[in-house]
Amino acid sequence: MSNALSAIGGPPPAPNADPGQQMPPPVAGNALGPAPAAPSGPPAPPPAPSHQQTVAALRHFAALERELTTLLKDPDLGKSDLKSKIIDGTTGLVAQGYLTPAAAVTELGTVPERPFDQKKWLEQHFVQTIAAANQVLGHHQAAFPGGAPNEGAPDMGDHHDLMQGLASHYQGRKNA
Amino acid sequence: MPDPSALYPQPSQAQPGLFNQNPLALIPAIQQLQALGARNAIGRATQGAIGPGGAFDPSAAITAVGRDPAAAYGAPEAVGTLLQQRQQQIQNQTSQFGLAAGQSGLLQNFVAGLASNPNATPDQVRSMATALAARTGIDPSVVNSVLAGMPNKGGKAMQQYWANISNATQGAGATAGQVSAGVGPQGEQYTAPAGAVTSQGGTQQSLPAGQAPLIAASREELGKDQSSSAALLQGTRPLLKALPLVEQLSNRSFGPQSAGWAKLKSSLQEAGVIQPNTTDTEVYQEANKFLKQVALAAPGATRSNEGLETAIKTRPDLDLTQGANLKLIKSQIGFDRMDAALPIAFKGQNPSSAADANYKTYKTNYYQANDPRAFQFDIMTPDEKAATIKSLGQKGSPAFAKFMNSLRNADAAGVLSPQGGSGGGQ
Repeated sequence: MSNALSAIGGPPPAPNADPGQQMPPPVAGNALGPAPAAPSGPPAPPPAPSHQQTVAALRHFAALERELTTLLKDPDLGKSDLKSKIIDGTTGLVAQGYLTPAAAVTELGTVPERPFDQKKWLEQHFVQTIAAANQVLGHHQAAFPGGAPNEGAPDMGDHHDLMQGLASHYQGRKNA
Repeated sequence: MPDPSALYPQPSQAQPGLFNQNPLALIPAIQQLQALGARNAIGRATQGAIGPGGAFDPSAAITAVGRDPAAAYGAPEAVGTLLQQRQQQIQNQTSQFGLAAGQSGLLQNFVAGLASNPNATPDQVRSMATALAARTGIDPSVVNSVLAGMPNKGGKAMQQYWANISNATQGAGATAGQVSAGVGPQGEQYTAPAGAVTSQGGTQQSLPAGQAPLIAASREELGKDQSSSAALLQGTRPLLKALPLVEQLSNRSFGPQSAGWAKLKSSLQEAGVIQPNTTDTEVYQEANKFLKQVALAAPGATRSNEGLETAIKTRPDLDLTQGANLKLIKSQIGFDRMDAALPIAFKGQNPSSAADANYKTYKTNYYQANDPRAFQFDIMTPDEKAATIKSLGQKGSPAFAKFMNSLRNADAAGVLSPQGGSGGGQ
């Protein structure tokens, strides 16, 4: 299963509900990537995802959440090896255009071997995916109080571009 | 020369001790000690009332202050302060509730719009939710939790999902409180708020805002129609009794010297319509007068079919004994029966008192769902029956089904003559 934003390029830092305030360093496999380096310069501007980027992010996270939910409901979870099912789920996300093949391969490389660890891995991704969705929406709210220009629902064909654009907001924070 | 005695140790000077002073001077010191002890005790009570998450519980602090004797000295002030804090907390919670209620209302309007849109796609919904979240500042987790269970595709499943969410956001009164409230005139299922169901004692339960007047109006209308139902049926009896006579009078071969004339005359005498000494020429006039009287004797309320009443009032010379006017009488009987059957059919299909709340809706559909001709079928002549059946079209057509359904309703309500007609077919 992929990191929430890893499929669209470099893993951005975890956004915070309160822009400008850093989250504690996340564990490996954070839905939004590793924590940013310790701030050394002026504080980075808070992420300001646009309307379409936010909608694309919600669509992205919803797709991940669906796959994760299916796996978490599996009665064999934590008892037997679910790697093949995780691969199937990830392949489905690639087929639907949510993940790039390269990102899927990278992400699948982080799947643990032991069933119990797989369960923890999936649970962690699930929680982080939900948190990521809330945080992106929160950042959008904070950046556009009163509402951003409503550009309508984005096309699925623009999904990767929009997610790349979204990642740049967080990438900027990382580099700052 | 210095005093040599200074080289010797001096006797100790008597120091002013606590107990050597005026006892009244000790009071402030004692009070200070008591205040310090009380403040410590109140501090402990306050600390103990702070939960692991940092939430402060003034009620717990007040309880702890009340139980600690050491806090007695400062208890009045402490309790006053804690009560103020509790009041502040209540105000804050009320404000939070108001905020949540406002957000819920917004979300409710949002999802209600989606529930009525059959073409909404998941991305359109997300787009609207994002715009809503940005404009209103609703907690993102609330928005995302609503979006979480949304189907991945648009269409019926999507519409159903939002209809369910809409119901859920309307609260218990609208959904959890919904109970089966019987069936409609065409067998459709009704639901009603649980609050619409009166208890055994007849006490009205609490209802969602806005529902109570509608339900009360529905019940009132049912009661009114039930009262007039019996009167309407009673009013059709003279018409039914007169109908065979009118049919005979309208027969051109029927008249003085004919076989049935003496029988008709004696029937009218028995009914008190004519005097025994009435001449043959007066029989028609008296019979006509009688028919007008029974036709105008609208029981209870104005008749649903005003045709007969209007015809009689606007044309004093109207001769009801004429064959063409027979149809007016029969229609009148049919419409009166249909009105009378309405509350009977409703209660027959919906015996539960919960269903009473839906009477107005049932009534609205009743007239559309029923064919008035079915209610006069038993008093039709064979020719009229055949013409009616023919007009319905093929068996299984909507008109045929509607007629048969109406016939069943009429039969179930018991408004049709048991022998299949009092005068029809004669």
